[in-house]
Amino acid sequence: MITGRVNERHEATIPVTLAAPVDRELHDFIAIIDTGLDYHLALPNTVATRLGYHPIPEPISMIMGNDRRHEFDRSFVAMLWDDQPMSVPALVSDSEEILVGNRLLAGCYLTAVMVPGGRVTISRLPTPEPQREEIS
Amino acid sequence: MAATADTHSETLLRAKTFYDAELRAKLEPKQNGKYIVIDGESLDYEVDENMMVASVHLEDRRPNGQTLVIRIGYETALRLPLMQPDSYRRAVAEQSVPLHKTEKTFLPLDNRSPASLRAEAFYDAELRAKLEPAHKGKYILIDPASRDYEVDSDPIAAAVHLRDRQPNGEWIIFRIGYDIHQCVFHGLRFHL
Repeated sequence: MITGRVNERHEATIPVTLAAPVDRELHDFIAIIDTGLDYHLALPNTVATRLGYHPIPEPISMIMGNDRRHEFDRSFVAMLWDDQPMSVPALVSDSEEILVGNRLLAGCYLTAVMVPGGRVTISRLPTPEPQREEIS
Repeated sequence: MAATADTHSETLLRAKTFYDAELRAKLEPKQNGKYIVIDGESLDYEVDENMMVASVHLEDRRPNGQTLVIRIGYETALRLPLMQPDSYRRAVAEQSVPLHKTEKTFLPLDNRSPASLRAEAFYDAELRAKLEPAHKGKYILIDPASRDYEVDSDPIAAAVHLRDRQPNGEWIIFRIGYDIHQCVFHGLRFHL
């Protein structure tokens, strides 16, 4: 189980651990859970660059909350998720925070006590995760 | 005035020059493996076993600094600073992460899943000779249960295509021509 805290801005935060490709060293970060993000992870450009992850050639076009279309660079990163090593796609943006999106949360049970300091938990559900078409 | 890319590069170069001229002989080899974070403007610096801790402590003193990180004794591991110090500091204040790691940790090499090992055995037995060296550097995603696979220089595209054919599969990623010591993704489950 992954545990985190709700911060003063009422954002549910959890630790995420990313591996630097150059030496496999693990680095801990704090990420904000963003259920409006229809992707796995969003990384600040600075974090991706400094870890040593480079964008893959084709950016992805996504519609933002303001209904405007925006192009993002993409990369894929090695990380520990609930102590399991895995590789996941990531958007690379000029944001300041790491965001955990819906696709990484798919198949998990998420709880958050939405007061500052409140507990956040993410547990894997025992059943297979539904296909994406079934989620909507 | 915001720093331009050129002045930023010059500042980082100044930090590197300072390290080479003034610090290298003092720190190597005794402190090899630790990280030094240098502010290229003031040439103030901080050394710690944890890159994040060094970055946070230096930023406390030099909040607007332009910092460079060097892993002492590792010339090739020269990097810009890693952390988002504000996020990290908030997290520490909220006690959701420890400030100090007791030791460095690395993505494990020996904690392979059965699916990962099956996929690698399939690759070694039936695909390696066929794919190397013509596709060296590309990524291959293998579903070990069906023995279906997809090769592409873009692993996300490969995963999408393989998912279309094997929607309930477990997709294991390898980089063709690389081993587990050369590619951090080798044998990992690709989460799509």
